[in-house]
Amino acid sequence: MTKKVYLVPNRCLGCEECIEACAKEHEWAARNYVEWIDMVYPVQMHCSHCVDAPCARVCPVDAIKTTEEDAIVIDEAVCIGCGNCALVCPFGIPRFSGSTKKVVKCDLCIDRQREGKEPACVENCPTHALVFIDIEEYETPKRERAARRILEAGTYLREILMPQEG
Amino acid sequence: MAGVSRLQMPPNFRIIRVMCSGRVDPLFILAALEDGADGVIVAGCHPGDCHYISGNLKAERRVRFLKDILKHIGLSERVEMEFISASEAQKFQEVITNFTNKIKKLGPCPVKRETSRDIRISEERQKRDYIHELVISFAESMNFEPEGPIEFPEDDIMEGYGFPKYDADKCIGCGACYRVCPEQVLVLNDVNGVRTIGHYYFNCRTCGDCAEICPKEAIEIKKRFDLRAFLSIEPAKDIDLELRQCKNCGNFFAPELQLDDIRTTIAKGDKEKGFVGVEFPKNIFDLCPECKRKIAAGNVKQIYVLSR
Repeated sequence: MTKKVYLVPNRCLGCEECIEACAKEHEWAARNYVEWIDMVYPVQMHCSHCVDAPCARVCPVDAIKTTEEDAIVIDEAVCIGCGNCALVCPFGIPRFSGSTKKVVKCDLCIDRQREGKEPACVENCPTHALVFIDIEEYETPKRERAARRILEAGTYLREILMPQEG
Repeated sequence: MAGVSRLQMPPNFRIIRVMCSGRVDPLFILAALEDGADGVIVAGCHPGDCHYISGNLKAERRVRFLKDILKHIGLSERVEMEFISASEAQKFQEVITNFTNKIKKLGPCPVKRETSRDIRISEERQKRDYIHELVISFAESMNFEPEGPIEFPEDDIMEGYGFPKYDADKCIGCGACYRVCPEQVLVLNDVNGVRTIGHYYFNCRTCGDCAEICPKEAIEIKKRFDLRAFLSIEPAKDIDLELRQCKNCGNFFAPELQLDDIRTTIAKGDKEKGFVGVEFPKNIFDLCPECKRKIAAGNVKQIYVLSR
């Protein structure tokens, strides 16, 4: 039961409140992104907190660790700014912070989590396009809906298209 | 003491009192020569008598270093260090008189400026900048141009002069050294698909932060003073690295060696941390991080389309 931040794309307005909330929480250097696809589809992106994180593997000073919340976090004090994590990430998430010249990325707001709050981006999203839940919680309603549609299709098939076959 | 003993002194010298000769910075001496002093004597207590233990020995070493530099430029007779105790009135008179006569024979200092320069220092780096500027200016006025490197023997070099030496077999070009350097000694430039790392010799104070932070231990701090390098305002080039080009946007985004190193680290795995080695596909570094992000985001667009 580990909670992560997920995007529900069709609720996203592209207001970028999540970016401002993240920046406010992290010394005015946001760790998330909003990519605009074809100029009209906003897609919020943040660290996936991979279970087997390539960034943690390639850090030469072991600055990247998994916390008890299953979040992958870069320890700023240890980071030397080599950029290995930024280069290996399949999603291109870690970035160089202009002020410290070290690498920063989403830390799932573990400081806020430990105070019982949700990550800043989730709390500030006006349309609840960002949700803080376990992956199972996210998938189960989708599976149920799909199962229901299969059932309806089966019923339609049985009673309307081919009523002879009892 | 000399005054009290009514000894005759030349009229054209000025005393600047400091608590210990160890307080005298090479910058003071250079600035004095530029400001109108025709000669400078640093007078300290005899070795072993220093109230601050070793201030006088430090002063002696600094003056010796400065004289070595000025010797090449042609000004070294104008700077001297003397050991005189407070009670040696006679010696004080002799030293000053002899020095004044010597300077009279040499004539006025050729590097004197017309207008006074206002020097204000609030950090170490500015001091090094000023010393550098003054030495260059003196060399120019005296028409001194070194033809080749002028290396000083290691014992004569003052503390804090040296440079980082790069081992080309180990460096992967990550740039951590460039980002950590507190004095902006190192330069890193990406031009035409090649990354060049170099250093401004005169700024390095051999703190060793770069050597400590290098993930490949490719840097060694060498204590060295080369007058020609010191007089140069161009950075010395240390190492060249090829950069990889993104197949999507065409930007040069990372050194090939760093990407190879990442691939090797992943393939090796780590028994202690429980990472099993993984072979990355050949094309995994074909794209820069920005393009990877945009393409991953592009995959999400399908959900928008599907949900219509």
